[in-house]
Amino acid sequence: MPTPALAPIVAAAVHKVLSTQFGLAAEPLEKLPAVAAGYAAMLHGTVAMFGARVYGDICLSLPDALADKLVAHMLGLPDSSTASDPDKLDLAGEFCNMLAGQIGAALTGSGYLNDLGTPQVSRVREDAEDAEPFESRFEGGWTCAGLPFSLSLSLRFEPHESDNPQC
Amino acid sequence: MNPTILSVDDSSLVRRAVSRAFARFECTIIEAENGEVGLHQTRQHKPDLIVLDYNMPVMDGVEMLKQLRADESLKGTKVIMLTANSNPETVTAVARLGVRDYITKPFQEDQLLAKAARLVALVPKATE
Repeated sequence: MPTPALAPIVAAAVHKVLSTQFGLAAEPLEKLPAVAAGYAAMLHGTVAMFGARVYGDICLSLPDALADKLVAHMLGLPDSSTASDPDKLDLAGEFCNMLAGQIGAALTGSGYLNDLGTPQVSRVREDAEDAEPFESRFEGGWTCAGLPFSLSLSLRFEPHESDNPQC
Repeated sequence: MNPTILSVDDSSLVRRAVSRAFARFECTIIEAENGEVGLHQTRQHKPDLIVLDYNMPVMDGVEMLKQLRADESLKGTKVIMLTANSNPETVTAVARLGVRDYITKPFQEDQLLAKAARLVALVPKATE
C-alpha cells in the first residue's frame, strides 16, 4: 500500500474546517508565509497523531489577527472584534485539532488507523526534536481573509505487512 | 419543563459555540471543561442532554461516559459526542456506552440542533 499523498488530504481538510466552522475560504500560497518577523507573536497549535502504522505531529501557525477573525466567526461576533489572549490560544489549539481530525479521518480511510492527542498551544514554537527521520513531511501555506497561516505535518508511515511479502 | 443541556469540552470556544447554538431555545445551558467537572455537573444538575468531547485533559469523554453508565441514577442520561476524533474504534467504543449520536468537528449549529432535537424538546424562545 503506497504512502498516502498528503497535499490533497491537507487541502481538503483546510477547506472543510474553514468553510464549515468559520464560514471562510482559504487560498493556497506558493511560498510558505514568512514568519521571521514577529515570530514570537505567532500562535502555534500542535496535535500528536499516533497509530500502529502512522504517527507524528501536525503543527499550525497563525498570526493574532487571523485568530481574532476566526474567534469572531466561530462565535458570531462582529468581524472587527479582538479576542482575548486565552481565546486566541484556544482557537489555535481547536483549529489545529479540527484539521488533525480531518487529516486523521482521511488517513484512516487509506488504511492508516490513528488516534489524536490533546492539542498543545504556545506562542513560541519549540525546536522539534528531529531524532526520528520522518519519511513524510508536508508544509503548506494559505491566506484566509487576507491573512497567512501555515500547516506542517511530520508523519512516519509503517508499511503494511502485505507491502513486503518477502518478510 | 425546559431541558438542561451540559456542554463538556476543554475548549472554551467550543463550549460557547455550543451554548450559542442553543441560546435561541427555551433551555438551561451549563458547561464543564473536562470529564471530571462534567460528572460533578451531571450529579448536581441532572442534565437532559450532554454534548461531550472525547479528547480532554484530567478526564476524557470515554472515562466520563463509563462512570456515568456505572451510576444507577445517571446511566440513562442522553449523550451526543462532539469531537474531532473519528477513529472507528472510538466510535464503536462510545456507541457501546450508549452514545445516541456522534458529530465530527468541524460542526454546524444546525447539524447539532437537528440531532439534539431528536433527543430533547427544543422550543424556540418567544420573540419580543
